[in-house]
Amino acid sequence: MILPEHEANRLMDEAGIPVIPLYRVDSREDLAHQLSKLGYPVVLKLSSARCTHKTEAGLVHLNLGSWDAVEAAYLDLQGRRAELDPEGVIILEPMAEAGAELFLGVQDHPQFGLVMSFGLGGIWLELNPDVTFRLLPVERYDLHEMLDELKTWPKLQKGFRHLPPVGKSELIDLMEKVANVILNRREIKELDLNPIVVGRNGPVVVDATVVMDSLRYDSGFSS
Amino acid sequence: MPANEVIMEKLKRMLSARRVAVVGASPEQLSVGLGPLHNLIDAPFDGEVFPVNPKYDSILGIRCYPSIESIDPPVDLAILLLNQNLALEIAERAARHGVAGVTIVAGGFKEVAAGGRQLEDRLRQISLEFDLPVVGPNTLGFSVFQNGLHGVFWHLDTFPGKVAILSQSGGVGLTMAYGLRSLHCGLSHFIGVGNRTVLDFSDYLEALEDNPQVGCLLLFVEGVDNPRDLYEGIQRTARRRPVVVYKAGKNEVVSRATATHTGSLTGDYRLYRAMFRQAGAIEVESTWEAAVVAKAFSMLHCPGGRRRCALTFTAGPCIVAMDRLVTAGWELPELREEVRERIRSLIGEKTPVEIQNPVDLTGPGFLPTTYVPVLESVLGEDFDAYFLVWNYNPFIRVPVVELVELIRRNSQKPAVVVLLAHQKEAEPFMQRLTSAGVCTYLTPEDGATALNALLMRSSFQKRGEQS
Repeated sequence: MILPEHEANRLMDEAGIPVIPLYRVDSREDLAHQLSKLGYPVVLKLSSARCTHKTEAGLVHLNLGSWDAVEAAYLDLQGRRAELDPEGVIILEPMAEAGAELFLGVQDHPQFGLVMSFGLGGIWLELNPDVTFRLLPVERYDLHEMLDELKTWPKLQKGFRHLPPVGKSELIDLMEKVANVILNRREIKELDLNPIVVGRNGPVVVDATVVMDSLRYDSGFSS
Repeated sequence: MPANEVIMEKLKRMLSARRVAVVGASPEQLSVGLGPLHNLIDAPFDGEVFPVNPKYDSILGIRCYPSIESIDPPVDLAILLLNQNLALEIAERAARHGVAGVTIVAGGFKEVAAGGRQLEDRLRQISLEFDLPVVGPNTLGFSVFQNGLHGVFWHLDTFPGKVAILSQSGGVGLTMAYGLRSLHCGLSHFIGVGNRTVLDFSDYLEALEDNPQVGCLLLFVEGVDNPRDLYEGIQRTARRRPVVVYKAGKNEVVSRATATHTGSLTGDYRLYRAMFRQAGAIEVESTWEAAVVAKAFSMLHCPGGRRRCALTFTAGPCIVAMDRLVTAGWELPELREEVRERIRSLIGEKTPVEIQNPVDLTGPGFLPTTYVPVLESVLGEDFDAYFLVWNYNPFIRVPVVELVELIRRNSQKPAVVVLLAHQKEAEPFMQRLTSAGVCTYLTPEDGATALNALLMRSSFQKRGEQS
């Protein structure tokens, strides 16, 4: 089973992995209250276990800069929730600062066992994959080598165009934590962090998809 | 599943077998039953060979036995040159009689659909019941050249050396062996792993990883059922010995439907590739590159650093090699002023060339009387590796003795010699230099490939120091 985004986000957060803060909004009053603390711009999304390709399904409203825009998006998502998944949750998050978009995934391969993939994320992942793999468990030097194997790494490290430079050690810390969370919690079957945005303050997981082994998963979460 | 301890002990006994039965041996020219007998008799095998075939009293002048049970005490190895059904029957009888292990040459197991899988399951059961190590089925068999235990059933012309070939294909394994042979490099072992029903790559690796006769392991892998075992086997072995891998099947298209991107991105070849690197193996792209790299590992130490010196009297081949070497991370530090002056004095003030690294001696370097003292000077300097080009001309003496002597004195630092000559002209020099310990190739690209593989291994060995 696929965890809804806000649960996946919480699971990563509990493991010490830097994630974008998410706020569940259950009413317009709630929304106004959270916004007064967050400020603009923000993102509104529908988090649902039934629909993982949120962007394609039009369930993500990015870069909302005013109350009018936020309210319109909220109403839209309420409508979409009613039609797609009544258990879906509308979540509010700050707009991530600009940065390189990376991707980190772990799958349980039928022959190779746990495999970590890492590469250039966002839309580029599908256009022209620049990805590298390692079997888990990994040593820290394996993670170093994964970065070095990316064709785009030299440019990312320097800061491509207007983007801030990508720091090696923070990224490796994040990768190591993800490896540990998977190795320690075998009920996680697959995991996809895409994108991880590396802004001026280091890497932040903006979107996490986590697939649980439903046989092993004893839900401590509720939606 | 890795083999258990009893099977591993018996496998080691098979690999150092002193008493070998050839079951299904035959004097017929066109029978596979002749192959291992020929090979064992031709090789300096000082153990005993027992042909088994109820139809004959003797084959090639050797007493022939009617059954595996009629040989007492039981042999260390029985090579079964029988069809798949008979091979299973005799394997079981051999195990019952106390034979340590068998090679099954026959195909017709899981690689063919009808009934093959059941035969293979039966073979697995026999092995489990008797703790019987089985090489194959569907294999050329194996040879251990240091003992003269040349047990493969096909022709394989080589000589005792330090490279162990483990191949999932007989033909590819032989091609790599011949590549090594033409580089004047011999083998310690040739093992056709076949269908790997009982013994898999990881078991052979375990059996060979501490063998002092093995300088380098060369694997040809088509694909395995449990890549994790292979990974762990290579990782363990690569800590002790260089492991070189040639993997087939790069173009297989794997698309698995999963909920995440990760699954669909993962072509198996890319995973194998990542896995080999993670395990510390050197991956090669062709049978020839496999031979080039295995030769380097069987002859040279890994470099202590990245500082490399090159010496030539013809610029182009060095430029071609430098491209590859620098891309792989080698550095070309400048020569010290004193060395530059010494080289200048050797080639003369009037030679219109700048003295730098790579050292290009141009015309004066044609002569051993210039080349050799320059070589001596640079070998004394603080470099980690040497790339030496000699452009062959039958009217000028190749300084074989000097190369051997100087390179031997500095044998802790890897040096490759590139002899620019065609194969036939080069042959006597290739043989003399290589057997005297000078790692020689015929093209600049091969020389660069060799040094690059050494550098990669030494960076694997230093892993964990920086992070």
